[in-house]
Amino acid sequence: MIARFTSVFLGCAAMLLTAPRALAQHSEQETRSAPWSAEVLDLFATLPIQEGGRIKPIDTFAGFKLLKMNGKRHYTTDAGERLSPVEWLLDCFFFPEQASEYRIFRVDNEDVLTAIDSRVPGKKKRDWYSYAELEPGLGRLLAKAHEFSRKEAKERSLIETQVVQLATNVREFEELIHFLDFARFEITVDGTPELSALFDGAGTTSLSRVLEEAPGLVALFRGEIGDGDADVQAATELLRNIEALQRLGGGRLAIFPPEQDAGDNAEWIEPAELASDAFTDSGTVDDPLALLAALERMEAQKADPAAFLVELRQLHDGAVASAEARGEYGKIPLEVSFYKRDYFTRALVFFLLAFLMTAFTWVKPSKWLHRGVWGALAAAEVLLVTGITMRCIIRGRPPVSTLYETILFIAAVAVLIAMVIEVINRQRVAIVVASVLGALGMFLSMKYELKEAVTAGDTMPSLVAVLDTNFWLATHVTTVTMGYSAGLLASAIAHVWLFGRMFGFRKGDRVFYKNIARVVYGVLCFGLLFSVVGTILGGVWANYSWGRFWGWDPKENGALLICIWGIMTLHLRLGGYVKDFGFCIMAVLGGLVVSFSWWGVNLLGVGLHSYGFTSGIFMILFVMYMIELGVVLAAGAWRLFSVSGKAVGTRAVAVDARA
Amino acid sequence: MSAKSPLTRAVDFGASYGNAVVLLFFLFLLTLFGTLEQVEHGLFEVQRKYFESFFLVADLGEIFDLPFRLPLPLPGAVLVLSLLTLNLLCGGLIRIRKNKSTLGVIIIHVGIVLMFAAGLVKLTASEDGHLTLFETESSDEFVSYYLWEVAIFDATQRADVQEHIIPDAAFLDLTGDRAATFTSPDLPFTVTLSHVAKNCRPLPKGPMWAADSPVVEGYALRAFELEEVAEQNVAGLHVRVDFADGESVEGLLWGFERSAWTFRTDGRVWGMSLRHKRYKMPFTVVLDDFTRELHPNTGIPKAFMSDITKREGGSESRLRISMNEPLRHGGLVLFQSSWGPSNAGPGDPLFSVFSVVRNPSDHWPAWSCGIIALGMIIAFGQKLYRYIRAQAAARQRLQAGEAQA
Repeated sequence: MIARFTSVFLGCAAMLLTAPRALAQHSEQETRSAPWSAEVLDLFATLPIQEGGRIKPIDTFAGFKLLKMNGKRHYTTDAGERLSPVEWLLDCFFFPEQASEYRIFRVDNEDVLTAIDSRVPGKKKRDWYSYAELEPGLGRLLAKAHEFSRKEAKERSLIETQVVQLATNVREFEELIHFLDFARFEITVDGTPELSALFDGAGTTSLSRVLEEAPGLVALFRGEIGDGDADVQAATELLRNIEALQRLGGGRLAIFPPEQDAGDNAEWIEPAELASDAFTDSGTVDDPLALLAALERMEAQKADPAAFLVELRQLHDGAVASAEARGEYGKIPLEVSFYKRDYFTRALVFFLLAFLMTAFTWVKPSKWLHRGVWGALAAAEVLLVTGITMRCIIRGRPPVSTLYETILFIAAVAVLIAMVIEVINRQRVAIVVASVLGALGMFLSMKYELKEAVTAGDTMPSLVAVLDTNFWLATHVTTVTMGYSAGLLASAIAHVWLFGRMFGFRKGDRVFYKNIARVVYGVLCFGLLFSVVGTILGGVWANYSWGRFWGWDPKENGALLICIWGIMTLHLRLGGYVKDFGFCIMAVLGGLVVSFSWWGVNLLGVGLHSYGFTSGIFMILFVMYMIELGVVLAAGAWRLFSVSGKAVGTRAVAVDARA
Repeated sequence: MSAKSPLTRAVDFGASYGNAVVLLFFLFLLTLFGTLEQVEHGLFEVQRKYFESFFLVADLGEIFDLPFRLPLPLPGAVLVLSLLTLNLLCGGLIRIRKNKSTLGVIIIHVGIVLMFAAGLVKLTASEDGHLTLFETESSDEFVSYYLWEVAIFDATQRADVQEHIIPDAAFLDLTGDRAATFTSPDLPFTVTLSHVAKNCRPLPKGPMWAADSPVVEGYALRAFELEEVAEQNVAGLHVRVDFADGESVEGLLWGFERSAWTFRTDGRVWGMSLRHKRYKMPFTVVLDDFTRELHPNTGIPKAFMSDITKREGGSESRLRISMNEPLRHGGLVLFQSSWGPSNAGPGDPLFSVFSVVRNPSDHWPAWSCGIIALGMIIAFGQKLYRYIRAQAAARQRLQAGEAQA
């Protein structure tokens, strides 16, 4: 059955055809008989690995893999079993046959399947597919993906992009289900009596046992021990078989910590690398070999939950001890806890709850309901800030160092400012805006997290050298992001003013609208302060890092546009060219300027801020721009109509008076 | 009441909010279009067109990918920023009412003026270039990225070679047949430069293309469009050397020629080369070791570091230059810029590239940032304080009214 998975790896398949001569496959249990125990899940989730340049729990790795393929961080089987990322990954590792039946591959458009001539009857336009369902067309999928990959990413059609994406997901899934291939085979070691003696007369043995005897095998291969050609040939054959095992494609996850004194920046070891390491420098792989042996025993004992747990504990304790000795384990439990508690989804729930309760207060005002709104909003903000703080601790960085983190931070700051405003003026406007902005921010963060899962595989990536400075991240990036936050909040509150006036809400309550306009003004000033200081700090950073203060780079220009727009808006107000209406229109347009600086310039794909490039959000931005321009035009038309209406009314009164 | 004179009216307008708004709007458009156009034309071209000009015509059709041309004449950033500075000085510093409530605004404007001044000083008085060294190499010069110079020297000299330099400002406009002659009492000949091309290649002249310079020994310069990245442009020119005896020789100089063009007179060999402008440093830098670190198991750069020895006046000091940690010394700043060769394998010799800047206004932007921040905090803080007090008072009035009722 294993051969079925490898059918797409033609090279590996060829190796498998030759494998039976010297590699004996264990009997295979294909399905898991009981759910994974809580203890197994806890131990496995906190296993440290190295991926994307950082040490992370395997739980994080599993979560992003599942998110990338499935679009969700969980999977519910046909039998109704809801699998967490760790449960799913355990199934992939230990029960690949079962995992290959899970419909985890999200295909957004069935034309992707049409393109590879592999449509599955009865599926919807957007549906989920299992590896087994995709398997008949895998050859065509990979061939098409290879063809489309030759095009520049921006030149590909949507379907072509999705074909490439699906092929990538399938390949990554195959890496997971093949991860333990090395543990599924026994290696024949009875070629000659001398060879057999190295392994205490065993006919076959595990990879870890063979690697343990690497020095003896090398001596045999060199003819230093043994009876001559027959032993050399047997040793050569054995080494070839190990090479064949390596080439099966499994073991590609850096799960074994290196030696304690290997240096801060040392690479962790993949099982697949151990064979080469053992034969080149056998003295350095003792600890990983013990861990490799534990992995092999886990595979062998997977049908026996108690024995499996014992072996897992051995692997876990060994890996954790090595990682702790290197000072690389400290934040692993915190990261597991961070993803387990899912702060941002919970914050979203509370933001939505706050908004719903606010909506009820519009229908039936109630002091208790209003207090409920405050409670829900405060809970949401606490969850959001806690999540951001945990990320800071895990990363050892200030709150904002990636685009994903800007979303969280901007939402948190906007909500906080709005809550302060509400405390000051108690108009029950800022609190509504806070719940809406908070919810939108959480939605956007989830959408962008999915995108990060697809493109980067993590939302805590390793930073490029130029960004490796907590001082500038904490000053320039944080201040400029606070400027974004205030700009967007001012725009949102300005919407309330415009919609309120246009739809006649609290008609004639001039004080109410005057107050809202003042709030817009105040938030805009707050935003301008942070935008200007943040932008200049960015220039100072560039001056101290690259030797020039200003280079007209798109990201710099984006920040400058916000400053210019803000200063222009204030001067328009100071000069009396705009009143409350015009000021609110400027604030709404200012929101568009912030969006351009925040996301738009990244779409251009030029400039020095290459770490901030993104794609795939053009449509969202475009729709937002169209809606906002619609709002401005509608407000303009309303203004024109209401002003001309008043003028007509005045003339009519004059005629009546003369009559 | 006497009518205002035209001059007063002009000053009034120049210092007005309206003028500030109009100029800011133009600056907004220039920044926006100058950002979008970088996709097609690159930073160098756009910077020249939008941000270093007095007037320009933006093609909105091209910027927004429309199927037709849509030209829009605009004032360039140099003009807009000059007028904005005048507006700021007149309106925001001189004519503004000076009292407690405008203190913050005045401080903001002082900070902005300082920032503009920093930009002006950088533009007019700074020098920048790069210093590229392989490990164990040393140098006391850095090289401009895009300024050129013609160097003339006696090729028979040893050790400290005395050079005669013609700066690019003296010859860069000598396109086509325009020529200029250069003499020196130390040189036994005159040098005439012409047919300067800012981006060109010397090629064997064939019938398929028109030469952009006279043909010399079968070769001529072929001019190309300017590259988007300024450093990629390679200049070339035609040179004629006239000797006192009436004889002359002709040659082509090209910026990336590996060796100097040579000629002989009076038994001496002279060399001449077109090269990027070189600047002397008051110290020598030796690159001892360059380290490039990647995040483990990835291709993501984690750190670039150059361990150097700085030699100056008989003393030596060992220092490290890395990303975000430049060396500041002798009025110069050396930044870790890049490295190479990009395809180097393990054990291959690496070179380190330092950006070198001499900028008298190096720290002014940081000072201006502090001043502007202070001004904004004062200005907006006053308004916030008044707003909070007004809100509290209004609430008290409301509560008092409710109590009475």
